[in-house]
Amino acid sequence: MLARRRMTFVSLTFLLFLALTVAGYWALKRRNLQNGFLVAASYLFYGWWDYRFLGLLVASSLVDFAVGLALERTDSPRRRALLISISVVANLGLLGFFKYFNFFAHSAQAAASALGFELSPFTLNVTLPVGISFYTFQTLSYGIDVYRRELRATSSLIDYLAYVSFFPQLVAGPIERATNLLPQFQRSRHLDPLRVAEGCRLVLWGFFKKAAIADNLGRLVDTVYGNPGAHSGGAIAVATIAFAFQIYCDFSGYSDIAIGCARFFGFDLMRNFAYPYFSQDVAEFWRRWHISLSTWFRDYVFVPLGGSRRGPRRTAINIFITFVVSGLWHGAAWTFVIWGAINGLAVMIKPLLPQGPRRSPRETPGGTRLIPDPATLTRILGTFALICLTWVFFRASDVETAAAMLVRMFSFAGGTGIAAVLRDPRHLAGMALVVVLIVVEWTRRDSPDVLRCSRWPLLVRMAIYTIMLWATVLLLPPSQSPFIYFQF
Amino acid sequence: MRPLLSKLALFIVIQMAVLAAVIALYQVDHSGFLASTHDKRARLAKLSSPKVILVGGSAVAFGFDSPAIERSVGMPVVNMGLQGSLGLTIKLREVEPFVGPGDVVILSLEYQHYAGQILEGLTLWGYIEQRPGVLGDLGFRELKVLADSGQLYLRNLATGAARVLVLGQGIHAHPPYTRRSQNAWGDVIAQDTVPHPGLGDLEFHLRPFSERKVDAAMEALRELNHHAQDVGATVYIYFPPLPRGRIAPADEARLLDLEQRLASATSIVRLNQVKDATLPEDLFFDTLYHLTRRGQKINSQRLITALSARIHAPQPGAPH
Repeated sequence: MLARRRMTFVSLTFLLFLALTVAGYWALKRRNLQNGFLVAASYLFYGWWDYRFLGLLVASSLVDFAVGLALERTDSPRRRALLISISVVANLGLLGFFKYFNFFAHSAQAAASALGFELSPFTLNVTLPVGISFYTFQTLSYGIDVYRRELRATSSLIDYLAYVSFFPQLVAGPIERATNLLPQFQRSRHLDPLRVAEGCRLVLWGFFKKAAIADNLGRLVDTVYGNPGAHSGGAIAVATIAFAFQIYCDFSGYSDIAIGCARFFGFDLMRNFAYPYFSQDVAEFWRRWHISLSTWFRDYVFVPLGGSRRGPRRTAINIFITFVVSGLWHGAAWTFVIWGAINGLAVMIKPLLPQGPRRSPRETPGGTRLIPDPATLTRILGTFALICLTWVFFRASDVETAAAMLVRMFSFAGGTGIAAVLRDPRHLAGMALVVVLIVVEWTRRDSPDVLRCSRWPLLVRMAIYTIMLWATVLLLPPSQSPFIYFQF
Repeated sequence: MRPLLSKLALFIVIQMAVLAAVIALYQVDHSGFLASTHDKRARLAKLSSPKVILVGGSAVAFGFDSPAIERSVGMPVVNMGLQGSLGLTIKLREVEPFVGPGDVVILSLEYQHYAGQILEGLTLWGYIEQRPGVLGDLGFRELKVLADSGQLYLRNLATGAARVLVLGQGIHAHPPYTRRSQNAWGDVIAQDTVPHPGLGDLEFHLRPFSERKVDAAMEALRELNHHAQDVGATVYIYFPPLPRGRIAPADEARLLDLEQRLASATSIVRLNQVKDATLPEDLFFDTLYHLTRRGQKINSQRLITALSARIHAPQPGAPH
């Protein structure tokens, strides 16, 4: 459990911290000093949650820094293999201990019990360090990239620590590759007004998605998922749709704020979401959803398994394995494994079928027409419906509950209905904002920057930003929820 | 760079103007529960020593019948109980300057205070609305909590201003959570004027504590005790009652653990024991620690009995 209070992006503390850090950073003229300052600020940001876990972050960073340097100095294949094994074992060992120990202990006990053996339960009361799944993947990818000779190891510890700990993306991504972010720490940055303005818009849009939409939808979702047996099939379906948008607004909101904040310091982080709910098949969805993680698994799991080089059947199996592993990454529970497996099944069918169009996340999703043709609309809605079904496993407390919820949903079971669930003004406001979100994103889907409207008069833009900001403040729920992806 | 800065400046000016309008419209609730701090502080400042000062959160405000205590011990009483979520140090700092020779300070703190677990940002903001001067006395932990909840306070300001704009009035509390629901001593006395909600299925829980926070709480208690001893006053701890049968075994073990830590970390005399500090659940008004009028009387009688044995007992070295 994440028991302690962390410095969340949607807080006055973070705004003060950000303002002071930006000011301090640009007051320093030399790149090395700026990087050192960012490391200190990032450690303060992380330590605000629990300073004791800073040691893990530093340890994970140092292992791969040392491995990188050692890899750079040797051409011996055996020695290189040994070095990268150290990195993999150290990072996955850290992750395994803190995240998966109890899961595997429970599962082993259950499996033994099913076979007629009784194992005494042995679990540990461990706190999951926030961001561990993100920064271990980031340091791991650095080591692997150096091993593959796709990247030269850096000899500057400060640059490297700044790359791993950069606070905007430290605790929930985007999971940056060293090939993209590290070189940015190795060159001088300058304050670019356009990028700062872009950053401001992204931060504002991210705040709106997280605080106004996701947190209000979260109340609706918690009400229904907290007591699914009392709710009708329709209410469960509405809550599942609400969860689909809650998790999207929560995580893409976080990513927007992270990317926006990074712009204030002159950095470009990778795009993490590209209007995923306008996808026309599940494979496209996964090219548009949590892009930094999807591409990580593609490059470090799917490709080493053989990728698509060994024929359609083997490709399909590799896709399935990759998705199951991705499910396990999301959480140490069978619900996540099943969630990954269902997504894997939906994507693995594609290589087995005659080749259709492969839609890139850079393309405008759903085509360029304002009103989509019926076939496109059907594909979008069908994909969304399928994704929603998988979210039931993602959100439910356990597999039995998820299965029972699906049964209630499809048997049109009675109980507290949709009208009763939407009677709470905040629930209704959350769903109304979903409609606003869909309209805004659909009309702006040709650009990664939703709020960009530079051709509009300045005062109109200011009015829009002001209304958004104060609407966000007014719609803040009385108790804020932590970002969902913090638990991973 | 200049166009950006001018746009940024314009944006900030607009937001400041909106914020100024929000603050101008917002009405501070001078009739709410926290506003009773003015009356309590005024009484505390007015009373001369020796006096009895009851210190704590709403467990104290809802927990005692001060006139009965006053009659029994023969000293004027002030009930400084306000709200548990203000945290421990604010409560102790508030009374410390007023502790004088012969005073009796009764700490009837919610158990979470001994573990340093209650400090809630919005309550702190609400208190600062009443007493802006307290801002200068806050420590790092309180300032951190304030900053962490600043966005929620801003939301409260905006909501309050919107209500004034739309409905023509701000947010007002209802009895017994109003200033007028308290008597001149500072006890909440309006429980009988409103329906009695009861505890429902509420249970007492105490989270596992952090050593650091327990140590900090003990240190704050020791400081007050030293100060009291220096001026010739006495500090006592009186554990507030919890509903019988609503404490899980694990929580009970934690309570006893806290009691032991308190005994070993401070020399403050305890007037009762945790295991005896329970009452039937029907004596609780709407939540844990909040007693009905009858509950207040029973709890006060217990305090009087324990306290009389102490303050009327011959002191070591005193003439018989």
